[in-house]
Amino acid sequence: MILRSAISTASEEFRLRYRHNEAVVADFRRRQDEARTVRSEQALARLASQRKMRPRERIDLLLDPGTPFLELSSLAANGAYDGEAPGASCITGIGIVSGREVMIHADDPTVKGGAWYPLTVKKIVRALDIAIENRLPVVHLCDSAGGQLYHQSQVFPDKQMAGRIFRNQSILSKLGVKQLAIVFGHCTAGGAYIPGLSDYSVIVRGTGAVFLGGPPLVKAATGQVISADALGGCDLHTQVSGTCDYPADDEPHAITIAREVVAQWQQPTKFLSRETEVEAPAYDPRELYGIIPRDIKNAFDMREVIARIVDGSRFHEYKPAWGTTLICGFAHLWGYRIGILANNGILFNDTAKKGGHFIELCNQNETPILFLQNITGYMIGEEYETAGITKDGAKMIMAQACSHVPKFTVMCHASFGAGNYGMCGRAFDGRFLFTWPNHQIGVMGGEQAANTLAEVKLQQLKRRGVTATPEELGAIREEALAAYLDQITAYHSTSELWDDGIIDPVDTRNALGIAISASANAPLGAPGNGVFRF
Amino acid sequence: MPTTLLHDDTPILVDIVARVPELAVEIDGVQHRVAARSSADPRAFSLLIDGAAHEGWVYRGATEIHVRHAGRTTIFAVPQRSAAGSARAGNDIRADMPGVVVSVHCAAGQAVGAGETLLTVESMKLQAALSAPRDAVVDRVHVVADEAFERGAVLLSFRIEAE
Amino acid sequence: MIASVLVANRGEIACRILRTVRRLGMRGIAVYHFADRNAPHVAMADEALELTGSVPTAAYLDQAQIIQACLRAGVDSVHPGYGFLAENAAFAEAVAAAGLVFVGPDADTIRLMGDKIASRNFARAQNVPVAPSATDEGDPTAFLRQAAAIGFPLLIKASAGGGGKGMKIVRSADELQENIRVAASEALRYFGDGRVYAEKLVEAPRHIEVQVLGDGEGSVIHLHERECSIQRRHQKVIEEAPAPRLPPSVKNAICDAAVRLATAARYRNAGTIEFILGADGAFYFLEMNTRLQVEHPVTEEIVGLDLVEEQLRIADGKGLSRRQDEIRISGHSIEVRICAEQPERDFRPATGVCGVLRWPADARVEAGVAEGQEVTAAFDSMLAKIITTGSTRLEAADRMKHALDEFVLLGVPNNADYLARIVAHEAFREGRLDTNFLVEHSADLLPAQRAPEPAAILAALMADAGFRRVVDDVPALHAAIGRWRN
Repeated sequence: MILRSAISTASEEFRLRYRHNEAVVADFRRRQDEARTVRSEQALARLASQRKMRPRERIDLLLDPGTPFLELSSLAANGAYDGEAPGASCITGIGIVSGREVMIHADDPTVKGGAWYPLTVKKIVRALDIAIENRLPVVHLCDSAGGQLYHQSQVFPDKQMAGRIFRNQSILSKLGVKQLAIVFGHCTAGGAYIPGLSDYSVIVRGTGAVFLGGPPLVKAATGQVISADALGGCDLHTQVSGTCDYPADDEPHAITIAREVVAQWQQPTKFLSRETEVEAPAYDPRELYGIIPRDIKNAFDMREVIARIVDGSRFHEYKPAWGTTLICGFAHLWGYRIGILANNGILFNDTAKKGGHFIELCNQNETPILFLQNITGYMIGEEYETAGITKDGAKMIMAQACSHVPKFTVMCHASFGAGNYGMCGRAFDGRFLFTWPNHQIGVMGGEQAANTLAEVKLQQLKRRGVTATPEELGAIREEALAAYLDQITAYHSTSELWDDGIIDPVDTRNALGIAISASANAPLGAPGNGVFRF
Repeated sequence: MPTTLLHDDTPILVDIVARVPELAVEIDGVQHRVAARSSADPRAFSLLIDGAAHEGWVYRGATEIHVRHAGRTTIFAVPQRSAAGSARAGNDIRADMPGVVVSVHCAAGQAVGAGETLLTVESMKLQAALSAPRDAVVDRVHVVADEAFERGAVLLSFRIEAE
Repeated sequence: MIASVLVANRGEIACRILRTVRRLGMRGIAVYHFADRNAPHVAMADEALELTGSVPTAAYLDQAQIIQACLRAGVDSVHPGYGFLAENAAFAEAVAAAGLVFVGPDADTIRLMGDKIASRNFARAQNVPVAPSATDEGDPTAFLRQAAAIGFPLLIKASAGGGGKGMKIVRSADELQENIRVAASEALRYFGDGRVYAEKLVEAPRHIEVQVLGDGEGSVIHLHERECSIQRRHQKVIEEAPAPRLPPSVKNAICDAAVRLATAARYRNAGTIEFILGADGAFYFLEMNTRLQVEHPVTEEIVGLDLVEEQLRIADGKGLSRRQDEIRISGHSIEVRICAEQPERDFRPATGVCGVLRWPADARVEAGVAEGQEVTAAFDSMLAKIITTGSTRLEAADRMKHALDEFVLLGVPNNADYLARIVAHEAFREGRLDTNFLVEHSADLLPAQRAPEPAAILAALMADAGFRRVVDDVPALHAAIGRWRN
């Protein structure tokens, strides 16, 4: 049935929310624009002197004209390294090249020569994880000075650090998922393995170079003075060493060759079927601005969100009268059938069981699942513990974690406590997780956390025999709240790559469409579950 | 990547703006909506452009597209720049096989045209002419007639062009 | 009795001749070089024999091979067409020596008319006006003096030449000596014969020629005149019959002169006597072509005769089919020459494949190419002729404009659009013609290149599979989302 919106777009509350969220999104766009475009004059001059394009120009040229690009984690590292590495000094995203869906990873030579910071590595690893999970071919646009030496302990040694990039590349190749590297600039040290482990590679004459140790390192180690081009340039690698495959005269030529290479790849088999008749939502998605509350504590009907995301605003709601704080039902999004779980309040025993049951229905039906999170937790208190809220919550988590269909999560407003787990938080290997800029995430809400932290502080003071005045108490509480609030913002979250990027709520439908389409490239895993605690 | 056509050596850049509900392209900053209508003869075209019907003839040659429309024949060249051959191959000519130089047809400082034979070499009883991959100036010929060389040896270098 | 004809030519004229040969129930044999293996004259002949040679044009000039081919095919006659061996006296002799009929005049006539100086002397002797001239008789000082006496401007021409090669215009006495020297050295280089002569230059003349038929026994009739003033660098571009705006007295004088000359030569075969006509009505003998002309169809159209049939009849000893008083002209006919050249690029010769070839429906077409055929630089650039006829000149011109609009040749750059501009030009429609026409009106005829229309650009793109793939290969969902960035 077509959802009927209960919102009055003429109401004062709608207007206030609309203006508020418009400002929230404008702030997001400003930050994003800054991260994408603001660079030092020196870096841009250097790029121009090398006749290099900016990485986004490279991507635009690589993509099929008139097609979308879903950029991931555009604000990664926005709160790290004193803002030194906007976008974590790389660009990742999904686009169409020669008619094929591909993951693009582009180094950003305008940020510290494209050096890899810890979060750069995390972002690239995540992009390749996505490529593996969704069987997406990858095009690497290489132009990086290598690992940031100052942060080497956070870049090099651990399981999810730089080595993981090369591990993921190898696994992709083993899975038969194609990779192509275009070497625009230097690929030094570990970075050399990106073209080295790609199935195909193109290298630009004059500026492209691949070597395990660059000229300075060679000089330091052996005293030999050699140019970058002689050590690992285009002619060496395409004519002598065979490390790279295609020589290119310049960057546009390299991109032309890359598009030709991708055009040779077999078109993927899709594992999800899609309706060809696609209706736009019956309600304007911009109205989401008037729906999302101004205050994190205010509830709202998630059906209003569903009505502005899914095809034709058509939603078949499952068990509409039972466990009503969790909305479950089927819809289509850009033609793909999906199951939706959307929070409409706290999770109770019945809602947890309803959610678990609905996930099983989706599993049996091989229907991807979309989680729309606005959750402040599972209900607590004697009554619910007695009824086994932990046991019922565990059932939902078990069903969700073991589900073998593609899962997608949108962080719409609040994500506090264990509700995050049941609703496919970051730890649960959803294929994609996007965050709205108004969103907050934490083990508990800001107010509760501030009170708890103030209480802990007070206890410490008390043990030292200090008594605080009410003013001091207030100051302690304010300080704790400020620190905590900073940590629970969407910006902090996305900076740390706890998501695949902040998106404008209006963009949710397109982002999910591209994400679901990408997910359809991978076969569904084997169905099955662990032990449910009944 | 926009599609490029050349008319009288002037590039025309065409960008696809949209495919749905119909194809929309931008030519020189002006958008046009295009729908192809079927025609019985594949060489005849029938297009609906911004709502107006246009008919004519078109021929796709190897490197050119010829169009007859409204009493005018227009010839477009399709730029040929692809992986098939770097328009400006490397600066060295290397030996694919070990062999002996039969004859040298050029000298250092000589300007040579693409396709011009530079060296004749013999490897494994097979004679091969090595020709210039592009217009270039010979910087050095590293071998002389009757000289033997190994696989991968640099036989000839071109002058590195000032960028 | 001629029962079979070998056509020692190629292109449109080979097709033209074969058509009549076959219509008359004779066997038509073609010769061809490998480069012409897909040419239509090969396909339409009863038999086609290959000529070999590393230079394709040289194969069609290889007399020994062609005589061999005649003997192999067992033909009894050879039609040389125009160009190649058509005016080669030695070939005419070789054909006769092989016991075959040469469809053309005897070798002596060819020799006489092939020599500029001798032919002019012959014309003068028959009272045919010849432009005042001076000939180099081996005394340079005398030649210089005689040349200067003609008056300026004057032309220096190669005695053995043709087609404007080695020709020099001299406008004053002090330029004369140097120009004679240069013309002589060019003549030697082009024709292997350094003899030159000087001739009065008629400025902006018209080119009028008369078609004659002679039986070789002294009977000669004329089939009226043609106007060939639309020329580019002495190459005819558009011809018509009859000549427009020609006073009857001048017309009669020219035709009479032509018949006088051909009769005196006891001319056998179809032939053409070319004249230049000054603005003052004075006309001068230029040369006689002892063969079928490229532009013969316009005459055929207005007199209703098949000139190839007449040629074969004469060669067969059956004489002329008509008396002069039986020749009537009706209507007006125009011919254009479709050439593989690029008018907008200084008429540079063009090559390519006849990818799309659509002939106009209501016009006579003499074509030497077929769709799919490759046009190389090996041969002359003329591909075809389009001929339209009307009851009046303007009707013929209107039909030609329509025919050229309808004509489609894609794959080989050609002059069709340029020809269309000529026939639509006001001066052409008014019949104000002289050999300077194309230069005088070049601003109108070669307008600055306009940028291509969007429709043409889009048609080109839609015909390109590479572009269509970029459009069509995008998954439907992404195509629907379009150029979206988050």
